[in-house]
Amino acid sequence: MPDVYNWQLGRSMSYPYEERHPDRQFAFVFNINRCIACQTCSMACKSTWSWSRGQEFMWWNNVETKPYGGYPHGWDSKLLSMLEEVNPKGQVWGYQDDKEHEWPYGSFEGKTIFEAAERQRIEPQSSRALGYLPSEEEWRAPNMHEEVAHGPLQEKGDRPGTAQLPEHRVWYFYLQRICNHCTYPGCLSACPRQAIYKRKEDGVVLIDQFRCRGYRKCVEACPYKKSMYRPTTRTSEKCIACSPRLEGKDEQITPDGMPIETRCMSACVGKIRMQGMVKVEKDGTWAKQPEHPLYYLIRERKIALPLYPQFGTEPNGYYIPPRWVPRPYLEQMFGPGVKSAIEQYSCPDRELLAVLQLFRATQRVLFRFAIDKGPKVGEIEVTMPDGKKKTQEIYNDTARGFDAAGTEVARVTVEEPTWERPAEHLNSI
Amino acid sequence: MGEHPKDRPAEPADPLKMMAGGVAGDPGLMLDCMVEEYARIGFGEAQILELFESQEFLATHGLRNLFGSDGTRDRVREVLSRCGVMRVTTTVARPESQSLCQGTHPDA
Repeated sequence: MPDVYNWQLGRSMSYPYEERHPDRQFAFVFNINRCIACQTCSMACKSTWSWSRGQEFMWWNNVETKPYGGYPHGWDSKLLSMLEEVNPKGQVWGYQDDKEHEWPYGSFEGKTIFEAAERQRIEPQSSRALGYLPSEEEWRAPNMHEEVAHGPLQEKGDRPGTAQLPEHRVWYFYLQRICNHCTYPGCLSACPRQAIYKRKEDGVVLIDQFRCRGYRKCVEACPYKKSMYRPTTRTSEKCIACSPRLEGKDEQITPDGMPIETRCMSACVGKIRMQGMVKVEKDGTWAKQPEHPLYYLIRERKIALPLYPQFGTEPNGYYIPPRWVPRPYLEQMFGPGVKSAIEQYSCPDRELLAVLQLFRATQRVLFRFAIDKGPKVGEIEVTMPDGKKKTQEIYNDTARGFDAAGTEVARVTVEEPTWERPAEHLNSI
Repeated sequence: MGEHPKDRPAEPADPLKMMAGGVAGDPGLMLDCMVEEYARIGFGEAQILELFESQEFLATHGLRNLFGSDGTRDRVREVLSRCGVMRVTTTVARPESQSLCQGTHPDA
């Protein structure tokens, strides 16, 4: 297999195809800290793209409860176990703080799904990535056994007493998942028909429905299990990054032709999502764009991290890790950058706080931001990862977001921190 | 009649149930962080408490069950007394006019 460079792993790796890169790459950041699993994103996606016959169990966007659940069930723990079996105790990161190299998280010393398949010499030869085909049972219920609430039935207008969740007495968090539109997609590598391709203009990974014969090699090889088989058409389908919205060609959706966020992003009521398109150099590295909100969050500050980078597909979905979750679990999921990401996010400086306010400020895809600095307006105390408190300075700064044409489309001003007087002291002086 | 199976405690070793096992962690820290998150985008005490009281939001409601209604309210107040509620103003452009209009909902 040819060697390609994977900047998330800090090294070259084997991949079935030669290295080629799009001009721009669709990417996104999800802030896990703020998600309360309202599932509005899941329904927005489903009601747009996967509501037909044969798509009943197809959730291109799903939100699952970690560490308890997954869709399909146990998708990540299964693959992690398979990798461990191929390379026992070898799936580790060797961290070296070396500014000369393109390795923001260190260098991964273990085996990717492609290298593990090589080592395994998996038969048949068309299996170019280590993976497995989930059973129908595993696809059947996206949130099965994650949260089974039960309590008294409510009457109209009632606020019910309690819902029982006996199994979740400890921490947990929600993981929002769509296709990562990987730089080195497992699905694309495995397709014996070469029906899967990555678009040059935005790096979106698509399945050509006319070429697909439904062999399900993509379902088997995608480590994130985001390629799904549809029995009624006998083809596989997957998230298309709402490409009509992204292209800005539909006058009904984008009258001025500017890229608009995907359905799942634009429906997010918790304002946890931000998407964008980053410029990619010929060698696959991201062009330096410190004023691009995604570049800033992912490459400059490194507070948003890729999901299971060790799989080796260079996913383009990034997550701000939850602050309350034990580190070993998060490090397995997001790599060694977790500690620094959480420390920065827990007590953001003025620039980071301003950029974070741009999440879901507008439906337009933002290509640039600027900050107008204002005076200091207060200090607040925030909780750090170790539970200790730290003082955060608040400034009256304004973050401005610009669309693809360079027009200002959103402006968010941090006015000041305010304190509410409890009801019993409302009239106190 | 014995107890209903749904009322029995989860058994991690039950091979037919993908039930949660205990993992070390601090639900109090989880609650504090969630309150700070929503205060950061301008949610006040009443709005934040609604997230905990409503059964629709199982994570926050689960924490409310763990700490009790009064305990949750006290803890939310304690966090808000430290971090306050951020007042934020958002202004967005309408696609057709390109002019900035204050207070416009982004989906309008």
